[in-house]
Amino acid sequence: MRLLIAWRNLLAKPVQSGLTVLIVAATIAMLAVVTLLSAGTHAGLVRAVEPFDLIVGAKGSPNQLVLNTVFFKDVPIGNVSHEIYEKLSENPLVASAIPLAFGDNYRGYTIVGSGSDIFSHEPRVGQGEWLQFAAGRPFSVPFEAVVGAKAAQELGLKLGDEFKSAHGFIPGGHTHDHVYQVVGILQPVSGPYDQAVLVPIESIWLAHEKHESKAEAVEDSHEHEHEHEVTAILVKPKGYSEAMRLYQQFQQEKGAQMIFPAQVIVQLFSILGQGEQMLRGIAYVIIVMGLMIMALSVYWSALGRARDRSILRALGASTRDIFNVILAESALLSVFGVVIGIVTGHGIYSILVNIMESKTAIVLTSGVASEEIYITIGGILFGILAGLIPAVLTYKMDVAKYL
Amino acid sequence: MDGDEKMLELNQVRKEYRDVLQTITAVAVDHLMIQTGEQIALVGPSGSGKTTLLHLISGLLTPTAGEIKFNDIVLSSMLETWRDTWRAKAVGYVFQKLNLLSSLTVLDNLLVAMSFANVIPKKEQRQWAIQLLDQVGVSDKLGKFPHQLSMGEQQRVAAARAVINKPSLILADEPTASLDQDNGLLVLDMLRRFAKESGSTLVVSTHDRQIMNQFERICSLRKQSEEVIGSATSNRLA
Repeated sequence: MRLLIAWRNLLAKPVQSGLTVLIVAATIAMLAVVTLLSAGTHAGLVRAVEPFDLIVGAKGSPNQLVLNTVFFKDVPIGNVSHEIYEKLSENPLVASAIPLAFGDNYRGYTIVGSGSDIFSHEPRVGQGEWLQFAAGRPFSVPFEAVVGAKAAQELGLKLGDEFKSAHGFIPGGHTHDHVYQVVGILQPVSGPYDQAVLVPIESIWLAHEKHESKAEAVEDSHEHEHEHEVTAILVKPKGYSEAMRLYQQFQQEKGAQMIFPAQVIVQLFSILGQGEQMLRGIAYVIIVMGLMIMALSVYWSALGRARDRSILRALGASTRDIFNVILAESALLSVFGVVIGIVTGHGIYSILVNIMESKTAIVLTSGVASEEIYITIGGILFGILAGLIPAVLTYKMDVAKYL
Repeated sequence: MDGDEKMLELNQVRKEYRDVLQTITAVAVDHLMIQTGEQIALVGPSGSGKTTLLHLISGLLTPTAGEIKFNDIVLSSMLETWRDTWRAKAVGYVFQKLNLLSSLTVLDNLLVAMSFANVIPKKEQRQWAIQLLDQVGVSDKLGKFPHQLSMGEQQRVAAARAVINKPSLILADEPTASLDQDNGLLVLDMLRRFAKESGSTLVVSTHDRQIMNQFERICSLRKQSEEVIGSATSNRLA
């Protein structure tokens, strides 16, 4: 019955109650979005680099190498000699070495030149291949293409379709003469490679050979240097100790660098983490302000209901009953605010997931972050605590004055 | 009902309010004794302290001096929480301003009163409330809010709420003041009939001569002086 009284008290002032719920919901939604974004980005980045134990690329920024190789962002640092790839393939510490070559696109989607062994690459033993087929087969000869799930969907490509690649990383570059034919479409991997168009690395070499030859014919330049070069090499060591030994060995290599992408991501997290902590701090401050506004709202409501409380006292309600009714009002406001806030937070987050996916190729994970449970419980508890202020200030009163 | 049993006893009761300039005596009663099952009219002009006296008897106010005994227990000696429970169980109060809870429906107004007393078993509370509202002729307004009722209907709901817990003491403060004569008499008749049937004591404050003439015992409060506003004396006229 106390809860009913509290509920009816709130309904009696719909605008005041509604605005209070809205304020609490907005603050909780903000914290939920920050939390979900943080958890989703971490998980999304970790999942994206998972297939890449070690990456070998030209000397330069490790961040640039990861951004380019894993996320198709930023331009390649440069190329490395095919000999390095051959040496790695024969290294007893290496389980597999897969060459990667970038440089072309099809309508903005990155064309990745690689070996057909990329389709048998298992990031973790026993968990199956990283790239699995939804339709078709792996490429076997130059100018066959296997299209990532999202790229196929967005580009409308299906088995047997043909297309021409363009030079560079953005649409509008010089179009190569060779025609690619789609022979396979991949299942989604929830990562940047959903947006890749995989072709045999020889296709890239052939396309650029012709492209470079034309340029050379005009410029009368010397023999091009791109032949049999790769942009990066995806290396899978035989084990952890082998990885460390391989890394040590590779420090002597002058023409290339070897990096642990996971290490780069951890550094990225620490940079992101500072901004995230700041956002989180702002969100907490806003929540405290929201709860104070709620406390004020309940206090005003309680002051405005002095007569009702006097009537309740006259009917036999104790001061504790009155205290509980005021506290129940805060509890109801915070429960509604927190629940609406969490739901809104998820709504905003799902919009952001779509935007992030299309803009950055990072697929954020969805679901309930464990921190959300703390936000929900904490939000409601602090809401009730905030309600203690008006409850303590108003539960005792001169009853007869208002009757 | 034991007509000779003493229920209420007031001795040297005074209620004073102090401000910077003066002390105002709202009510002063030398001695007043009311038997169980008795029905009395408390009369006096406006400002004579009738409402204050009813608040004191119901334990809503505590006297500045003197004592009020209910079945030989001094009300002011009770812990506040006990007094609240006692009021919920033993006292039914019809206020001059009715004081129905505006945010609750007619039925909920009665259920709330029952929830604090817990005299009626929980399972029977709803049925009993509907039955009582039927007796006062507002059973078709259960889901209505007080502002959706006429003044007469509100008065009847207030009367039903006062007797919902079958109290041993019913207090009614000017129960006919805001009503036309027919409705006023109807409500008063209902309270008197209920008190008689259940053996409850009924104290009705009024300045309506037609009402006070219905009571065998009339207690009057009068202003003591014009200079000190609100002072009053009591006379037992039974």
